[in-house]
Amino acid sequence: MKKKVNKNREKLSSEEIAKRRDFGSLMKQFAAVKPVQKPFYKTWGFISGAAAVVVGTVATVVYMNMNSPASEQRQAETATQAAPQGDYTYNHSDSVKFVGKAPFINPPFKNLDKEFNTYKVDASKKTEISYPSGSKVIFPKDAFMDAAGNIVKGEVEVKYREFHDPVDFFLSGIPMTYDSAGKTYTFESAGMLELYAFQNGEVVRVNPSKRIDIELASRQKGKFNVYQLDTAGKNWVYKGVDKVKEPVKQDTKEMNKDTVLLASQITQQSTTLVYPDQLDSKGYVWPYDSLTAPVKKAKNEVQDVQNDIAKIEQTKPVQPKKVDPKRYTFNIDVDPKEFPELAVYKNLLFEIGPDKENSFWKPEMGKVTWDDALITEHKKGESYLLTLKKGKEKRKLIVYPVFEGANYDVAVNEYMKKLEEYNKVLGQKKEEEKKKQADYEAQVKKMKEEQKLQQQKMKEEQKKQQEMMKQQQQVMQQSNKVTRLFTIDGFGIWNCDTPRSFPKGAVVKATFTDQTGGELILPVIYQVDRIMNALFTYYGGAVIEQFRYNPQSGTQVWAVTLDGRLAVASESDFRNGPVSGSKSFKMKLFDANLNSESEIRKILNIGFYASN
Amino acid sequence: MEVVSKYHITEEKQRQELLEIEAAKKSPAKFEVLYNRYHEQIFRYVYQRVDDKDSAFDITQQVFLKALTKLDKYEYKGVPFSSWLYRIAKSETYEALRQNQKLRAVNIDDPGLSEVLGEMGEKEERLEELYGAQLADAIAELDEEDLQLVEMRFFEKRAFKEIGEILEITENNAKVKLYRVIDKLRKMIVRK
Repeated sequence: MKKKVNKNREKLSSEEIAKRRDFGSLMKQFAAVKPVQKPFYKTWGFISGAAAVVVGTVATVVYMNMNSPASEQRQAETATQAAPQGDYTYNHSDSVKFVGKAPFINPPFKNLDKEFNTYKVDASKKTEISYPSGSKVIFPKDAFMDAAGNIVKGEVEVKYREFHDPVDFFLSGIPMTYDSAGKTYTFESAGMLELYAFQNGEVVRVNPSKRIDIELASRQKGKFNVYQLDTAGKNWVYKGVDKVKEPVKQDTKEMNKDTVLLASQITQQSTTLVYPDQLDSKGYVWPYDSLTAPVKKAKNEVQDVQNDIAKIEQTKPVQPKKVDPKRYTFNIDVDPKEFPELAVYKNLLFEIGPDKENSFWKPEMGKVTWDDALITEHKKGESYLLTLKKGKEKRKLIVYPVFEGANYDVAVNEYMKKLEEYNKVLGQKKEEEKKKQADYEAQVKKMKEEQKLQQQKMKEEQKKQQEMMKQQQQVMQQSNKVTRLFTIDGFGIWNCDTPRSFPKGAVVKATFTDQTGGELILPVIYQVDRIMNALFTYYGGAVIEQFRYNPQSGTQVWAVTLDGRLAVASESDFRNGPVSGSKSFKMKLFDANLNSESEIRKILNIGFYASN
Repeated sequence: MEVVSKYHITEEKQRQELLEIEAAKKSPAKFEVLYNRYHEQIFRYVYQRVDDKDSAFDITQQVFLKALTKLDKYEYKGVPFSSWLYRIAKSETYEALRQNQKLRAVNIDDPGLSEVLGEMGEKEERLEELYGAQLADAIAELDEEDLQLVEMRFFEKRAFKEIGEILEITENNAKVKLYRVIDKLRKMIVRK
């Protein structure tokens, strides 16, 4: 590779470098290269299929209206909603417009909408499908009907998902309010589900003469009402009351102990695993600490021999030269330890070389009695630097070791002898290096094979243990759940609920700010009262005239800002908050790029609903 | 030669850093702390090898973009996170030079050259004057592997342990190799 040499280029200070640090720009570049997850309703072909069955039952209206003029409007509105970011500036009147235009089902983070599980069902047979939560859906024989009113035969694809806690409700964007007799309630839910069926990409509906049995796993005790969401009428439709099946009791304490033990074993194994195949790809050199003892030993031996070779090379004898009678010579004793390459010679002289650095030398200088003469190495195995001192005067000469007369012949003989010895010792060491290197490579090969085997075994063991742990966890979780039994006569969103009023205790005029006191405009404010499995919502903007909460129970409040950031109020503000008057709540803002449900749960301090 | 490195981190900090990496895997915004920590180091590494600073800044940004997009594949295998970043930096730098048909730059300075001469045993000022220019040429003639060793030790002032970790060799091996490069340089100068 050709190179360009720059000498003494100006150094950049840390401050100058820091000025060019731009994480925001990096994130923009990252966003541009990162694949975007499509929301469910944009990825399926069912939107076009849905148009064919607009004439279906009320139940199938739930999602079919997505392709109706109203649905097109809803999709357009979704796009409008996604727009506010970056330079978008907001004013108070926008708030009403914004909320008014929002889609009826409006997930706040489009990339975090819960995924559906897909099942293949034989339409001609009674079929049961199971969801990881423990829920079951039982389809009777001939449960499906196509748009033309024919009973569907063959394979049907069923899409199913569930929502169980306030984070699920929040992320789903499904409205949890219920209008009845002119009053608005919020649902406390004991579990919500959404399901659809398709054949060859076309939507199919429930055969009106059949019912589908639902066994919904739920943590809430007692009976709840069953509602179906009517997206056309934008309200929930009451369908009846569920039946509750109590769980079979398990010895959860003992199982819990086993699960913890398994978890700890898995963690320990994960930390000790070495993956040689990954490490070794593309000529990767292994970190020394990860090597096994025999490999380390072999590697050290190679390095020891290499060090020995380097030392031996230092002792290569210097080829003697004959003195040039025209040149001035010095007779100086040298320390054999300091100059091992000269140690073999006797009667050695140092001759002033023809180098231009020596041009100052005059023959009369040879008559001077110098106080001190110091020899240092100049060019390895060739020349030396002689420093002569007298008082303050200091002269430097480049000199060469030479021999006179018979001394030269003796030196040549000595040189040949020593050179032979030197070559012999060096050759032996190089041979040794070759052997040690071969041994090292053999040890590495052995280590790789052993570790590959070990890795394979551990992976298999780990897989088994994880499977066992998963099963045990599922059994434990099931044992804490009841099963809600009800039937459905159509696809869409179904909910086991009890309508609740807003929490009582305090009513304040609420405003919201960021940590620096800047006013926040929040189109929707979400509230959770810890004693209820419900998500209360306020639609407002800058001010909520009557914000209600219970100072005695835990209250959590959060919202999504217009630029897509999660804003969360402190629970302590409500625990110690006023019961009347005005109150400004400080919200902590989080990055717009929240990528997972677990991240949101961590921020909101609401754990996953078991085995969801 | 005294070499002070900011490169090494304690085990505790390393554990903390692994947590930061895991957090960044889940949320790219959390990569910022790692970006801020290693931006200067990586920039200086890149800048040592390219001719102009704007290109060096661009390549540095590309290094972090690559790191962020590949972060989910990063696993701790006993070498620091920075070592992984340096590997990306090396590959991105050479790729950028190749694509833009630019020459690989060798940035040297007098103090660094003096240190190389010092290691050769050439301690006198006059000799530095005489051989300094030859030495610069000789360094530029080194092959890439040898050049990196000399650059890191004398012009980037890195400790042997750090050099070892970046080049993924042992500290001792880094010393042995550098000693051989010095010897090679000495012979190259003598030839000239």
